[in-house]
Amino acid sequence: MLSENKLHVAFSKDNESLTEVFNKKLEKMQKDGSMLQLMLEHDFLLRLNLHNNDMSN
Amino acid sequence: MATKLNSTLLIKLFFIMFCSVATLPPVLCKELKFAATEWPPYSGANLKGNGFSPQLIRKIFSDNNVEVQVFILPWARALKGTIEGSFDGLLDVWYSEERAKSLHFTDPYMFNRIKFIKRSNSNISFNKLADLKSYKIGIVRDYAYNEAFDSSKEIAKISERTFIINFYKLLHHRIDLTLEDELVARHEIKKYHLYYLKR
Repeated sequence: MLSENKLHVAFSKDNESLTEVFNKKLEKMQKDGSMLQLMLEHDFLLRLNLHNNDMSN
Repeated sequence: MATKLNSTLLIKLFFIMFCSVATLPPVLCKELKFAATEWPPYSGANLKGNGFSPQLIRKIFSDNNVEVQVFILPWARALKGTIEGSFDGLLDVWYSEERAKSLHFTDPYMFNRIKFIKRSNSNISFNKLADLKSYKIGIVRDYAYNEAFDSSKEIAKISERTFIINFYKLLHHRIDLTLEDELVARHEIKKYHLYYLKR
């Protein structure tokens, strides 16, 4: 692998409160499996890279 | 008709008053417009639901009964439009300190991994970029991959217009390696195979 970057949503300056709404729902989706489901629907699951799946900053 | 109009107006009036009195987050009071750029399979005008990231953002705000609209635009317009407030948010963004001066970044939702791609019978391996100096590497013109790789003078980089041209050249032994985001590469290769199977 040459490099790795993380993908974020960037909200405009007037929408700071939406960042928190996004983060809370994202965490919920990662815990309840709906994020995994969405990834499956888009063929995003290559190999389950569990040891390298830390999405934190 | 008049009664129906009046009741619609009353509902709207009540909703506006409710939102302002209760000082709810703006998310509960409006539609949200997002900008994204053509980058399959993350986002794309011809993808199902505009792709993974637009579908994610719709799911994120689905609890709030907010109408989410996603506009697929060239990158420069999408970024500028979000900074200027024409859009509420921008999808598929890499963090940078420069961008963080004018935008609020969420937690990350996906990795974007740039990987080298070789023929399955190739024995090329590398620990440092200098290990690749004897190979011909197909790149996409004007792409920024990685600072060290982009600025390296000792690596033989041959630029082409698209990743799929590089993939074709790789299959035909005209280059030794190419590189791309793993998910983008798999999406493009799948599309390429489907196209040739139909011919």
